Amino acid sequence: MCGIAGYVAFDGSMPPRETIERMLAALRHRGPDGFGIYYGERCVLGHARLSIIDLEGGWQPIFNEKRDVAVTFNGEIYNYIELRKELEADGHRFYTNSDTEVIVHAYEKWGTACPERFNGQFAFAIHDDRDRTLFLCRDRLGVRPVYHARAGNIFLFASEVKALNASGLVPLEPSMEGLHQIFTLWTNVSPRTPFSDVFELPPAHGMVVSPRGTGTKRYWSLPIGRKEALSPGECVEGLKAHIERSVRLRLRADVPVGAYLSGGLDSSLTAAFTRRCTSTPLKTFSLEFEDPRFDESEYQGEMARLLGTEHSSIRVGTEEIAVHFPEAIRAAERPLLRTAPVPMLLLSRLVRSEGYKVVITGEGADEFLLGYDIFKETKVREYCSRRPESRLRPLLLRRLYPYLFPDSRTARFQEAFFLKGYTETTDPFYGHRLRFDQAKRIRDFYSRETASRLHEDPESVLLQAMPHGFSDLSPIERTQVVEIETLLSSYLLSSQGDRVAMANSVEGRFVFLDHELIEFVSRIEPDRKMAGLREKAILKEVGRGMIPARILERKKFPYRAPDIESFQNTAAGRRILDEALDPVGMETFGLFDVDKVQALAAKVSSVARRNGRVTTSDNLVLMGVLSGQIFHKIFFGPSVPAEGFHPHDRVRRIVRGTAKGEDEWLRATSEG
Amino acid sequence: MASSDIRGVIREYLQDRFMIGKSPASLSDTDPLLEKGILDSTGVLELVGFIEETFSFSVEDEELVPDNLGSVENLVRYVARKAGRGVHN
Repeated sequence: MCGIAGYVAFDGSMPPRETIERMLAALRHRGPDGFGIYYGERCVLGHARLSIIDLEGGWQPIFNEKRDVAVTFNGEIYNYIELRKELEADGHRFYTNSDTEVIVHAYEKWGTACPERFNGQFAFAIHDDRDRTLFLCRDRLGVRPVYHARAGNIFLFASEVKALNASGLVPLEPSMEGLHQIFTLWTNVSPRTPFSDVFELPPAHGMVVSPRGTGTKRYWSLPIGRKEALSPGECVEGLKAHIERSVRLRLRADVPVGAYLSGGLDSSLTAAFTRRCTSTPLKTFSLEFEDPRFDESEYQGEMARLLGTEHSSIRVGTEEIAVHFPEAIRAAERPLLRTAPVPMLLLSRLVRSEGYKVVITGEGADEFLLGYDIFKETKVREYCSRRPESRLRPLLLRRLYPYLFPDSRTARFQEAFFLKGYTETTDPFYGHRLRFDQAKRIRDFYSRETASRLHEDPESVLLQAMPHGFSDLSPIERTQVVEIETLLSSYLLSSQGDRVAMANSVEGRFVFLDHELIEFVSRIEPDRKMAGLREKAILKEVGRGMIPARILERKKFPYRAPDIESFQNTAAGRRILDEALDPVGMETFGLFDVDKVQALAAKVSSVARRNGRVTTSDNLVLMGVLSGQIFHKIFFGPSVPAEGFHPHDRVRRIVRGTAKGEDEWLRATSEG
Repeated sequence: MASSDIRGVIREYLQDRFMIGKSPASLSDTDPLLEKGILDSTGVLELVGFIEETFSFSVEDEELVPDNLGSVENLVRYVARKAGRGVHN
């Protein structure tokens, strides 16, 4: 796993050479093993490398035979062995054993349709000298990031926004519309970011940048609506075969691969398949929480013993979560409404400290196989809507949310809350309605100036971004698409995935995000995936006999960490909160109304002092304000000059020569 | 306590605890507190605690329903009844 950066200047006005060095140095955490740079005539491609495949030969950028097509690449093309055979049979010659080289030849053969052939998690940039085109591309689910911006006639791209900024050509300014999206939807709708004039390439998209213009095209869509009458046996056997194939592909690496174990079904299953597919000892990693409400160590230990893995875990305390929160925001490059990315950051640090760079993990099963409570909630609400007079149907909500119904006294009231708007089944965001409405409350806390500058409705923007056929889907399928299109790629895989793992140079590999697996499960009826209110019913059948019944039949335990209470209930947390809510800093940012925020903070603090429970809505607003203020301080505060390379860095530079002989086209130099 | 006083105490409490940033006029006495996003699934616990403390009676389990607690109007009627007084407008 690596970082990429570069730029093209179509009028030839190239920025100074050190520009790319600063950009790459800002991505050092993603790829500390070496830096490769290609200086072309009107383009520069850079690469910060974390060596995983072809440890010696995998330097980038990499070229085709004629050296007129160059690529810089972050990620993995798992089916590179098969693709290479096909391309070699076609006459293409390879000079490394890396998966990167497959990309240039695939591009020569299939052009900008080449990503359709790739099975993997990737972001890459290809420069084609023949028609002076830059092709930027991102994997189907958006596991790996890539951002872009313009500075006059220069087009810049990079794995992270901080690298664009380090170029010295892209000053960072907050985008109020972008921030407003995050506060109300938890995430941005791609291509928007919380930064003005900095954009994300959406997942499953390719972008062509040339002197003739710029165009973005989707190359893959979530298969929705197409269902087949598969028998239960076909579903289970089919899924099992896809998981095994996906795991085998994801074990392709020249370094040892570890596995995360959360204690739940998904990661227990991916670890069990990993164990089955490898003959070498397996190392597993887990997060434990000091707070027993969030801790799953009992199940993690049981699974590790069963699989006979060498197991390491890290126990995370509440205060620690608060202390590392700013670091997670720096890594994620956006405000975070949850602290859950913080423990993941600490877990990847553990993985790295034990010498591992790659971990197999179980994200995506909840989205594609219907594991989340929100799907059950949608099902129950819709079920109630069919007979609004029923007194029995709403009782299902109590079964669904035992942890939200801690006081049985308020059960009827809780039911009324969850049944809000339940008859509006044609609402495009039926499943997310309660959450979206709850999040809207942050608007009451914006300053007058902020409110006057907001013109977009995040929900309308989101609706426009939904795939073709979205409105024809059932409420549960629409809820699923929203989860996949928004939270999976822009929050779970990013803030809680790529960013916090790559902050410690660790690459996650996602078994359930294999696109062939996704295409298979998309053909299965939702009622098979969730039988009644039994979540991930097919996956549980796959796991039967492989993992203990106690873990298999465990009710879905959402991965959560203490949010605002991490700050309210600990000394270090209170210092961070007080500093973030300091009136001077809030006036400087200008996003929030100081008096209103202070009033809310005082209320929450008095609740905390009385050991009361902070309401969901107060928690959400205060987390938004807190993380918004920290975000502002990190990215728009006094800037520190961007660093370049260190003297001991391994750097390989390739300069496009001026001599005519092909052998002299490129002159490579290595340092370090 | 007269119902107008009860109304005042309840409105002040809601404004202070659940309507920070909103104008008092944005909530009418008959507006449903859940629908308007004033109370959420956890906020009701706070509200019950406040009523028990302020009006010195305990809220019985079966009384914890939106018909009693779902709007300012319902709250006033419920509190007035429980506190042993009729509604005097």
